[in-house]
Amino acid sequence: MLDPSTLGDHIDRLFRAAWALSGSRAEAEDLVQETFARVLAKPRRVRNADDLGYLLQALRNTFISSRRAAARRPAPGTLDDRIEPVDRSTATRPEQAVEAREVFAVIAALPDSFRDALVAVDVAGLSYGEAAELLGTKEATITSRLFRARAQVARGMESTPPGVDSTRGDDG
Amino acid sequence: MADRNDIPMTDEELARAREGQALVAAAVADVQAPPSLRESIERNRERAAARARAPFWRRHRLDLAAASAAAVALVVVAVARQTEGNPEPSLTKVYSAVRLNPTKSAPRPAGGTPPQLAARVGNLVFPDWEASFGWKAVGRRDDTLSGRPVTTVYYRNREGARLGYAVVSGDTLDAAPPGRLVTRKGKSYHVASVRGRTIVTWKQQGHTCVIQAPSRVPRARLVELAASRNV
Repeated sequence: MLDPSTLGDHIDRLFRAAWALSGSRAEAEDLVQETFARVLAKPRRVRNADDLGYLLQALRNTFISSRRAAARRPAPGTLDDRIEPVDRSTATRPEQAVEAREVFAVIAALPDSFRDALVAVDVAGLSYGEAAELLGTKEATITSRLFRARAQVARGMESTPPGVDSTRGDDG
Repeated sequence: MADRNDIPMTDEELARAREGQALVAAAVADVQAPPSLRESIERNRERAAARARAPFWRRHRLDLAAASAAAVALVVVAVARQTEGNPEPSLTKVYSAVRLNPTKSAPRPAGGTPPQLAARVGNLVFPDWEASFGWKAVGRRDDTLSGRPVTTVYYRNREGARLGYAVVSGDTLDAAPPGRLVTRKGKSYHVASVRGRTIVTWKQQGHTCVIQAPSRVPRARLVELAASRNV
């Protein structure tokens, strides 16, 4: 059974994965919150005691559902829902905060198959075999997608203007 | 048939891949989940653990109570709509009112579990969030918008941020709230950002409720406060 007492160990990894999937820190908070709410709603049976793989699968499902729901919903006309809260963990290191935000934005913009492979291995820390199982494909495919995704991230960062998202802020 | 991705990468592409890998590793090392998210999940986890230890009838009594309350609320709303023809205020008016300053002193704590304040709209009593969430009631204002009383209680946290929690008297408003729809504990909350403020709108016991705070207060925290009413 999934052990609720150990789930807290995975919050950081899940938060990073959610940010890389969505490209938005605020959306990542919501996604992780929603994922844990779903997982904790009832007892879960997990194969091979693979809590992280299970949580990542739940996170990915939550992300896909939220994207589908958003696509069905008309965008609010005059409201700006793009404001991001300050990242407290990097608030005293603004360069790192901007860099991480840019990298996650580039990852989120990758083609889905590349993004999913990179998030599973480089962001969440799964092995190639675990990622292949999670994404329902072969290890060789994961390897190929991962290398191409990494190359695309490097290219994307070259073309990302410095200070991207600098309009995001906070009014205190 | 060979996948395009199976074509071997050139040395230049491999070098880029290594560069990309380093960039991702650096970004990952810089990012941790915010403490507010961690605390919120920890509270969820503790509640889940307590639920799992409780006997069956206790685990489901809240669902049954909520279903009964929802059914009653639906009937009340349906009857009220048939018998009343009052205009209703727009959500924009409500949001504007919540953004104003309080005009009265804060309602006094009234005790109870969960803790409550001596302020109510219909059966909906305003919560005392000081002990559980660190938000102390600091003021109140009462407006009448399009003939409908709107009561707002203001709370302030230790960091000095102020939030307004408003309840519109009477039926829930028909207008669709703006923003993204999120679900907590089976209830839906609309979360929007407007000019540096975060607004959560939802329906509670047949009333339209609004929480509004500066955007530096995490959205997840505001939704958590709103969802704390759903007990």
